[in-house]
Amino acid sequence: MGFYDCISYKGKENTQEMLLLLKRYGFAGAIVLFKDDIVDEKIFESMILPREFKVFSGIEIFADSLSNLKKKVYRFRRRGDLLAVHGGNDKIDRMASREKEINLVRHTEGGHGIDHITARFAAENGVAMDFCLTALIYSRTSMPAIIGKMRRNLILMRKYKTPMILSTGGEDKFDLRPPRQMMALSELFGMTREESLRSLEMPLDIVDKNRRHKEGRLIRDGVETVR
Amino acid sequence: MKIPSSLREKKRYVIFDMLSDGKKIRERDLMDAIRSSGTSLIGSFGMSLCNMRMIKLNGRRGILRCSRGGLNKVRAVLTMVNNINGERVAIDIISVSGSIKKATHKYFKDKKR
Repeated sequence: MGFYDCISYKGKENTQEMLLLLKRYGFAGAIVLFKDDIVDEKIFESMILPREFKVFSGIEIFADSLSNLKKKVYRFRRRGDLLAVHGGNDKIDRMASREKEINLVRHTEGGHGIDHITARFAAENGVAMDFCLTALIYSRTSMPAIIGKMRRNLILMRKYKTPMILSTGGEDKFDLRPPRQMMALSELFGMTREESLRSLEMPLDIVDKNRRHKEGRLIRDGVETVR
Repeated sequence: MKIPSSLREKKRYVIFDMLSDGKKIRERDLMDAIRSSGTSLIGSFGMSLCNMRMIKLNGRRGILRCSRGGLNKVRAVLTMVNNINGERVAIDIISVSGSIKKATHKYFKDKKR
């Protein structure tokens, strides 16, 4: 199946460079997340993309209030291959985990981390939680706190079987890391080898499910038109 | 005094590549950066178990020796290195070898230690 990384879009050349590096690191593909005010899914047509490397587009919603989040989810729900929310705020995380249209909540290590209710809602609605390693790599002052939150989040996600994603969350080429190094780092906050392998493959599952849903093949969870 | 080879600590040689913007990086600066990020991540005790030592640095490619048991920790520590003397870097582990000879032969052209 291969490993997939979630990266943020910061200019055409920068993204192109990152995609080439991800290919060199052994990833099978990447999901490029656009900020909600600069969504341009057709930009890939003018890019030189690596061969045998799948690139998907996603939208990352930045919301400062719950009403704003609802509005943006309604606006972007049919666009892109994946809909993500920039979390880090307890209320936003909780609200995002209750929305079935949302696929991914990023930066859950911000704020107080997630609680058992958020983890349960996310598991029920199929919302994945992201472990962004750049938050850990670039935190000089509060590294123990971030590792602690990630560890607590992981325990809750494991209990409620919430889907999880391991990604670099990179914005330029220096933020990217090879999959094996990502797995080594995830081991520090308690992820097992099987969990980290599963979380590196998870983005493709989400994109695949979304595509089937958009094409009308997937009617709801467990009900699918085969022919 | 020499210890018998069967009693010596088992070692691994990590071959890595550095991604930087072109400025030459000295071995000492790199080792300082690794030590500093390692100490903040796994602490002095963890670093002592890893038993890291730089064997060779040729431009952007290098060999780092570590204990066999601490290999995964070394991977995590190298992942955390992002800045050397104010310059942004990323370290990519290419391979891990059991002997210097093989590592040098496979990944360095000059084949000298």
